[in-house]
Amino acid sequence: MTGKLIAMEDAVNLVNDGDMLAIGGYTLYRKPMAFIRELIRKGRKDMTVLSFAASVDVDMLIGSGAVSAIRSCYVGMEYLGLAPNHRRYVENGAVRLIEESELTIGVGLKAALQRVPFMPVKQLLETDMLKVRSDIRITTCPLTSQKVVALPAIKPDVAVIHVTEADPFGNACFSGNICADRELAMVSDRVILTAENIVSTEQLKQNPQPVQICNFEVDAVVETPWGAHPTSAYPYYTFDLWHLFDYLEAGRSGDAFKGYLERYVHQCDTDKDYLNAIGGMAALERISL
Amino acid sequence: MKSTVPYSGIDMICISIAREIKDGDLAGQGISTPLVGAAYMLAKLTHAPHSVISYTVGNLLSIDVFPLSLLYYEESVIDQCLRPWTFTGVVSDLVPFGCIDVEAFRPAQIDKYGNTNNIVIGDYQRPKVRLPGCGGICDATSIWDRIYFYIPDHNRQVFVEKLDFRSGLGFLEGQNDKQREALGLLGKGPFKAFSNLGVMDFDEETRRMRLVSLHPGVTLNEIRENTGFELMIADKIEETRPPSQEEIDLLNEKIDPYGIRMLESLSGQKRNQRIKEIIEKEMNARQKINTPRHAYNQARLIDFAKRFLGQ
Repeated sequence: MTGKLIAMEDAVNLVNDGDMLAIGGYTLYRKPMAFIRELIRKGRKDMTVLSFAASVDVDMLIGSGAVSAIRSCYVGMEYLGLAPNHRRYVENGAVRLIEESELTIGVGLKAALQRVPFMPVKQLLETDMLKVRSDIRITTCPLTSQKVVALPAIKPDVAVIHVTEADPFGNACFSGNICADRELAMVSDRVILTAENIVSTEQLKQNPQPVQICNFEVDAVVETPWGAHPTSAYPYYTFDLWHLFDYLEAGRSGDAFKGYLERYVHQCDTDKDYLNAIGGMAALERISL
Repeated sequence: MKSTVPYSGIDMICISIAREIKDGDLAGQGISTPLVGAAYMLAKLTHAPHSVISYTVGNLLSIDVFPLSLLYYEESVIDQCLRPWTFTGVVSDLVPFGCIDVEAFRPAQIDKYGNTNNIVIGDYQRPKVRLPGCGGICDATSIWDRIYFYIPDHNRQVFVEKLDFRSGLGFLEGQNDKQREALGLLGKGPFKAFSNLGVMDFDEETRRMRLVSLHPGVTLNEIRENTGFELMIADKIEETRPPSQEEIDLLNEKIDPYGIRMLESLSGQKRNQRIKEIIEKEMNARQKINTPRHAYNQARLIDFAKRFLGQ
């Protein structure tokens, strides 16, 4: 096994303008936010973001102008309400939406894993989903003549997944809200892990949480303590609701959001800058579990 | 029937959903629906102790009852997990196979046949309001048999004559079982809808939404005026059985001491204010549980931050 631990600035070079970027985690849980902030600092653009269930991850990328198309079955802030940039950009027609459901993503990834162009399902018939997704077709089963819906395979160019522990070779642990992360790691052309802790392989095997992603699936590992902030990283910290309220306030207008990006993204070249900007130890202790 | 127990419209919905859960059911809870989580736990503490809950948060199955929380819900759910799953596993195995017996969804719009919309308000291409998306509602409503809807604020913006987008399948335009089968649909269609005003089911012949009971104090006129289509009325309208002292006590003391379910009826600044009050209370009442899962590497991370920040 060779070491894959690299610096953040090298890891973002694995993401190109125009890529389909898959983001791991689930709504406000275990999102690779440090990586997303670095993508914004580097000015990546024209990306199609695939996020099974998205919140501030996709919303921040949209608000920075990095996104041309969104693939997600949910973009919202859970009980905090609608995602402000997502809402504004979609309502103004400034970003393309590829309407998804849980199934179209879940089964689309499975199809890619099987290396088949589509997989049949019995759902979605008679819904308007079929009217806005011309690439999803109703077809007839060649074996039984049943009417089925063909969902196209989804194969992201690059996936970035935040984990709680990784070794330098790309084996990684996390638990809860596993979402589509195991499939994303398998199926994406390039895979980047951002990790709260870098540990030895031996420590990883002793971790009470199981190894979910193995080294052969992974291209790069980046150490990013507190790197999911303001989303959560169980069992270390919960999401930062206080920060998210500020985020939502800033998201109310494009200008205010520019101010947010300036303060928390562009002026924070290092992790230390960012942790200070969000309130230092007091803020971290407030969210620690 | 007069009730002396104080309760809200939200309580009435919550308790109505709980009463529908059968012992042994596998009940699904979606994104950001605390009221539904509370209802399932109430069922477990009363008549359905062997029911299992499939939580979207955590992507797992649980058999425990724990208080609703805004800050620590993920932790509670994962720590008390019975069977971990993945979201891809849930949506591509558990859901299509029909393992989940029952789920209650909250539609942004619902029509007289129980078709629903959680995608947009207005034109799809240039919407007035873009909503988060349909999640799994379109996947589940087209194949399951026991779908419930809940509507915390019964009004004409929700109960509409025509949907802006059909993302959840009800009874289409009133098709019967045979016609549904011919269309290739597996599920039998939605079961009931609960609002803060009353309980609706679907007429067996026309498949149209039909009022079957009014909550205590609500008039027929009130519910008609707040419904954007012609509501069928059952031959005999009952009065919904109000919450019992036991049900309300379980909700207020064991399941939801912070009143998180009430957020479902609030919006805007009022809602934000309430959320802020609740998280302060949760912070103050917090007792850190140092299970091995928590202690593991936790100290490392804090140490790292301290070194990092020079403190």
